[in-house]
Amino acid sequence: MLFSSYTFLFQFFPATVLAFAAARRHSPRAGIMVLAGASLFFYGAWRPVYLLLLIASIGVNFALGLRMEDPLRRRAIGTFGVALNLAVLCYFKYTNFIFDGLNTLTGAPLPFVNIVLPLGISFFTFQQIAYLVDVMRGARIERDIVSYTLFVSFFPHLIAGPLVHHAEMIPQFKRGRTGRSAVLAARGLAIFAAGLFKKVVIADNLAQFVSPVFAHLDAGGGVTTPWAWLATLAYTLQIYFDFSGYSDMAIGLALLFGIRLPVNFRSPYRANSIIEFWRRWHITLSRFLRDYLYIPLGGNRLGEQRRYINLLVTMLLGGLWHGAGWNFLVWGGLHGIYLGINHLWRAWRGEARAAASGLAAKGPAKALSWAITFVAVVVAWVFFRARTAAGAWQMLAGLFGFEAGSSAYASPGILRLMDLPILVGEERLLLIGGGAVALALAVALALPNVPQLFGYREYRHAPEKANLLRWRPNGAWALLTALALAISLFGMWQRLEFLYFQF
Amino acid sequence: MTRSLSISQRGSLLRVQAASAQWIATALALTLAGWLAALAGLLAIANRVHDDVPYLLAIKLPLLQSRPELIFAGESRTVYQVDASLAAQLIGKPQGAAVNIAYDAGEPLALEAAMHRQPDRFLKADVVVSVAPFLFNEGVRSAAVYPQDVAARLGVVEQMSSFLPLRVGTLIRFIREAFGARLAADQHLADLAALPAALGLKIIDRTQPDDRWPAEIGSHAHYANWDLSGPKARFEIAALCDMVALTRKLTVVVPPWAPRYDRAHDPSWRDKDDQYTALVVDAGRRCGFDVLNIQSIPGLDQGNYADEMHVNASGVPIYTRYIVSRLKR
Repeated sequence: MLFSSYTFLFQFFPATVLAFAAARRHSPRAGIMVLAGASLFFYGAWRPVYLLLLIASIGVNFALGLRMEDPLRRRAIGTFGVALNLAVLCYFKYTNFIFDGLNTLTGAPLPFVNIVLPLGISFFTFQQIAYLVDVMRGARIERDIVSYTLFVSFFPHLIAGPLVHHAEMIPQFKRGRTGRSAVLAARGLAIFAAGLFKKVVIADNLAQFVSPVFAHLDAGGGVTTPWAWLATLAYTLQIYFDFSGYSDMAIGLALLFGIRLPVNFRSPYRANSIIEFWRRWHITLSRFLRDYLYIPLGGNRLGEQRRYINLLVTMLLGGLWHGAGWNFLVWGGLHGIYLGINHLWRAWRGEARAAASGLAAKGPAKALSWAITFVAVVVAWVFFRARTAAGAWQMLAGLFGFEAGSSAYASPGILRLMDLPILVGEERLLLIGGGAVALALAVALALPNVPQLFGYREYRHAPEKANLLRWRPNGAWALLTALALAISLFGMWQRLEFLYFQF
Repeated sequence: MTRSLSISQRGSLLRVQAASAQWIATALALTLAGWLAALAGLLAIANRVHDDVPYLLAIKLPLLQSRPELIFAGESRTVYQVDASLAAQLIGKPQGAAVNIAYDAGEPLALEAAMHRQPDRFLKADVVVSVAPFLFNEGVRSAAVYPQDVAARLGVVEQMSSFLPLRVGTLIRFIREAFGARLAADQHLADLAALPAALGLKIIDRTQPDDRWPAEIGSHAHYANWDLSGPKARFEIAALCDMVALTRKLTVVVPPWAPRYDRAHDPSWRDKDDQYTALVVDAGRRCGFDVLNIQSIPGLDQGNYADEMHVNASGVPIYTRYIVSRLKR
């Protein structure tokens, strides 16, 4: 059930809101029980059999947590729990990748195992690993199965994040009634509308300039340089608006129930360095990788050389988290290298101190930093999106003109505006695509991001200056929200899945 | 002092809560208004871009390049039941002399539009069109089968008043199909598309499970809310009449339902079916086309049916032989 589906919006969601409101009048605990039940139903609606997996995962991790009360056995049980979670994740996500690698290395005829990847497994597994690790480190053990179940399965974040932390979620489930439910709901509705618009109107319309081109390349074709740039830039923006739109929808939906989710994006394409990019992109994953991988590996405490190795290992595993494929590994590896270079550059220029004292680069130097960062990110996306190594190399060849013109991308010249087809011809399609990408880039760079625009409390620690353009519960914003919702409702007939569902 | 401040804060919070609730209600009301306005706008555009020859028919029209003498057209019971290759063989003509240009939920208005587009291809051919109750029964308003060319003739206000709120899917399908039909016309698919396989025949290769078969036909969706007085019957019958002058000979076929259903024991079905066949037969008499009202076919058994309406692969030759044998040539 997609957030941007009629079934979700007009059946599941209203029913859940009404049931939650009725239950909450009875008691806050009844409210969270309704939310937990609705979340499990939401997950089961995809494939009921995998609901058993989710319930088993929640049950086992909850039980392990309880058994970790004994300080003598805490570490052993915690380590076992983490290993068990990783084993389940490995089985569902990496079995064929590992078999394929072994086949290549040893020539052993290992079979292809037909495994359906359970939705959101990377998210709910990582959240529970974090819980077990924190309990090992002395965090409070959760004894309420309903709160724990809701922490793991709360439907706004269950499928594609944000990756939430038990310490920021469970206390919210246990507090009493809020006297500001309508205030939060109004803000939640506005944020949801903005997220839906980003996904359905911006990301889904950009997809038409991406999918056919990459499919053509993966099938062994080539593209001209303009099409290569259009497809790559369109994907760069598609994945941002798709994923950040999903995160906004999740934040908005949660607010409608009075729950605050962490912010996941902070205008990442405005970053002037790769280090800054990772502080703005998929923030909750970066936080997880930092706290549960990079720092346990030693972080920067074991010398410069280890720091770079740790960075690379963290980013390689971060890449693999996204999917079992060499393309994700290369993408993660590239970002690891980028980060290493960025840190080296800062060390060489002494910019860490400069940045800390607010003397960061300005003017042309800042523009150059931004451009280098943006192009580096765009190039890395090629590996992330391509399904084959040959397709990725072909795209790079097209981007930089190595093989441009050798074989053209044969487009039928059909523009799909909210999936309504219009024949415009290939040249005009290229121009329209370029315009769409420029507009989307302008939105990503110039407008405040959604949590900032809507004054989301969880954004208050962000370093951005206060923006003049700010949501207020007035008539103008009601009209804008209504327009975003009304237009998006027409776009929903496209039924394109969220890109991050596959992870 | 403290008490009065607390009351003042509470009052302020209540006001903020009330204002927020009002804002939500306003935003949702505006969304509904904006959505209706956008729908009206899109329908107006769809009505302008609509082409009476839909995409599904356009991609079958290249079959006419062989200048067939026998053209099978209409709805799904021709798509999945008529083997044009066998038909050509039965009439002693070479391959391509008979073709199957029917498409799912195909309607006479669309076929008539294709005839106007390529008159020479139809004027020298015998055209056999299958029809079904949903084409005439105004009570059937589902998105999957509502005739698009009828929808296009209603105008925005009538479209919205006829289908909102519960049949909004029909309007959404109309908008999408209108753009699809325009694209097919702009791309000249009727001339340039690749030739469909098997001269247009498609096969249903599996039989639906027992629990999916309707208990009776009288309450089948095609006969729901029975009403033959609406625009569907008016426009589609008029199209059948207009086609007479555009073909060498026009025959309208009312195909049979699966043999497990018995008209004699289903008065609701029998009454409605009689009314709709009478409508078609009367039009045939007035306008000059033949009507084949087939209630059963010798040799076509329950085992030859994939579902209550369509034969499976084993039934195709039996159905085709029977239809060809009944055509007056």
